[in-house]
Amino acid sequence: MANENCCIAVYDGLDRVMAAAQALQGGINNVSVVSCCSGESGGVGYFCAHGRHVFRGETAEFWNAVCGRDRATAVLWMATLGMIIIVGPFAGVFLTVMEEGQASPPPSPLGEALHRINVPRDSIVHYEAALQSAHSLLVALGSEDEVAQAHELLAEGSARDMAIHLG
Amino acid sequence: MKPDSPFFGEALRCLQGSPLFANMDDALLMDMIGRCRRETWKRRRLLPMEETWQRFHILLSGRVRLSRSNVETGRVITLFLLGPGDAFCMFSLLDGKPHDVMLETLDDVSLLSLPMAEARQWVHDHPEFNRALLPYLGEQMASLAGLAADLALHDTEARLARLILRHVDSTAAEAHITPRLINDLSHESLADMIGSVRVVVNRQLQHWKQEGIVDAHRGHLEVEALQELAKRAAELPSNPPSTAH
Repeated sequence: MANENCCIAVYDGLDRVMAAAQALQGGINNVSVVSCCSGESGGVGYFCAHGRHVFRGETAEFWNAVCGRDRATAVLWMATLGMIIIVGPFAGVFLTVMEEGQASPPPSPLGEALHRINVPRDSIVHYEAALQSAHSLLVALGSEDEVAQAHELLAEGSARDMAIHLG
Repeated sequence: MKPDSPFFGEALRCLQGSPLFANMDDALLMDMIGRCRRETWKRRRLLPMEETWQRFHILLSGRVRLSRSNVETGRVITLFLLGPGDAFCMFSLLDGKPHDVMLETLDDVSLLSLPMAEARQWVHDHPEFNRALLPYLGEQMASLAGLAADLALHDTEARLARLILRHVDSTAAEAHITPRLINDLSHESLADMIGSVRVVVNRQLQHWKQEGIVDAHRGHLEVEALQELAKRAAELPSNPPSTAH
């Protein structure tokens, strides 16, 4: 995972993330969604039964849809960002960082996880600010060709901002 | 890149200061940026041109080195050292073909990128870009001609002096002048730019340091006696740089 490339898109609302995730369906496998949920008025949470995550709450429909079966899911509380939900392979990168503990800047585990997929510091600041402003991230990991393909598929959508980060 | 991206303004400012795009209308620059995608590449990324020539790239930050190498001897010659506002692959933009050049990022870089076919169409549609393109290409050709002449006509000391002078602002009035782009390059990278080897460049810089011409320490190069360096370049330019003292 250390030399992973990625395409990251920033979205205003979860409905737009869903449309983008559907646009990638079939073409790109390693897609993750990262969202900060502290602004949810009704709250959101999940329970795990028979190996399946079931979300409950205002945005449960979205999370249950993107989660599907056999997808890595992480739900974490971070002092700076509040509650973060990560669905997809990026959850694995994040948890690896958490397990290893933080060494040096970037200052947050999320920043360190982004750094591991070759996101530079200025973009990390931008993505963290986007999450704090209730935007969501769609993270496509893969080879250079795969992330380029993801960018192409997402370019026609409604992302606020999008970039490719190559290692 | 979308206009509401927080990086859009930064890209626009970079292009406004670029020798290739500086004299163009802001609306035209915004149209160009809007067609591009933003990419970041990590430092020390090595790319043969066959992997990059199908896209036109504009550097927003960081440095990229374009070089050729001999796989048998391992020797490398740097053809161009590009900085923010510079574009590549220019020759492929002209002839639509790949060229035998290796790209290497010397820093973490951010850049704008668009498909070469689209860039060629954009050039075709905007004659004002053509007007800026020709002097830019002329400068690149002059730079290559300078490199060829240096390699054929001058010894290592003159070549190194000329390399540094090419990256120094001749109007600078400071006592210590930091050359643009090359000031923190390793001695090996400097050697690659003048067709020499690390030990020779290292010895030459130490010699100049003792003479008070340059100061090179902790990977940082400064010119302390510009006029003296110009003399070591084997010929004084027609407009000699102002003296540092």
